Amino acid sequence: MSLYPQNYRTLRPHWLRRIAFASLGVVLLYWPFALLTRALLWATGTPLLPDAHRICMRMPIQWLAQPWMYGTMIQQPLYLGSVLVLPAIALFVGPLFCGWLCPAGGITEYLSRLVPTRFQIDLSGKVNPVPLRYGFTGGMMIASFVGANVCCSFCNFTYTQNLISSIFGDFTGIAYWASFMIAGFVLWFFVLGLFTRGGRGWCNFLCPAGALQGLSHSLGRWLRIGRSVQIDQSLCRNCKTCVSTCPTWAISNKEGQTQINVHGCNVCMDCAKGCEHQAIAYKANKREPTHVETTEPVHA
Amino acid sequence: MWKRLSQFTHKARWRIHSFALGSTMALGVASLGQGCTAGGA
Repeated sequence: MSLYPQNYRTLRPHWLRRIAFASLGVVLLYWPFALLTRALLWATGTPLLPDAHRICMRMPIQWLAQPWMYGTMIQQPLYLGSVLVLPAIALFVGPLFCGWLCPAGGITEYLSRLVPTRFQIDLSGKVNPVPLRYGFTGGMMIASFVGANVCCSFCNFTYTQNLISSIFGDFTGIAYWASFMIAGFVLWFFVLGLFTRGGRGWCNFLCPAGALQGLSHSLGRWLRIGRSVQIDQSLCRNCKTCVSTCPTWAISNKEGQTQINVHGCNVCMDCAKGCEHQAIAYKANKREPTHVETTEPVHA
Repeated sequence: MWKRLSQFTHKARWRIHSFALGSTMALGVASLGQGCTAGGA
């Protein structure tokens, strides 16, 4: 294995659980299954094709900057998922959707473990991607305010849906790909996916749904409500295993102190499961004297 | 104190530049995109 040479055997059962959840995400959200989407379309009486576009993770975030679209969101409540439901969940339990259910983030993360590390860019613990992700989300909203949009042609959720559809014999989506979509796909799947350590470069830099959930998660941490991944500094031995294990580059070790950037953490729990000293745990956000966590990015 | 101030300004610079880079990327991508298949858009 390439990604976690020190502890991949320990993590293997945990990864299998996460892969099972990502498969559940496919079954719930992606055509031809889309069980959750079908159920919600049936419940709201909306006669639309049940695929990944119906619970769009991207456009509703842009629509936040377009007050004239609020009516559409209210009429079709499925569009409230990424702007209300997921951030509300993240406020209390963190971006569990990103770390466990999202097939678009999962597929590149799991496949990246099959690529030898010498071929991968390693930015873990070196770069804090959070401001860029917030900037991308903000820029997306500014663009939508002036009438442009960062739409399906630059969306990894769409690329994944089109790939899964083609596996099941529907090539309509893939046939629609033009140069810009192909460039976006290469950036997501190869450059920021398979050939980036952790396989979640796209999530870390460019996912607006992840940005909104990260913001909500950090708000929950700041308000001391809900739960988050925390490091017990009294147990930490600065071995930095968690730094190299974290797929979202949310952990860094600076001046002998390991810290989690709550804005970037997607609660995948790889760090907690891989820590030999049991110094990392997912627990309630309470101020305790032995814990020194930060919501401040500590890189760069 | 100067060290802390220097660290603070370094972090602030990184955040501001990254945010600006991300926004610029989004605006660039928005100008190059090729339409949306989501309903209502």
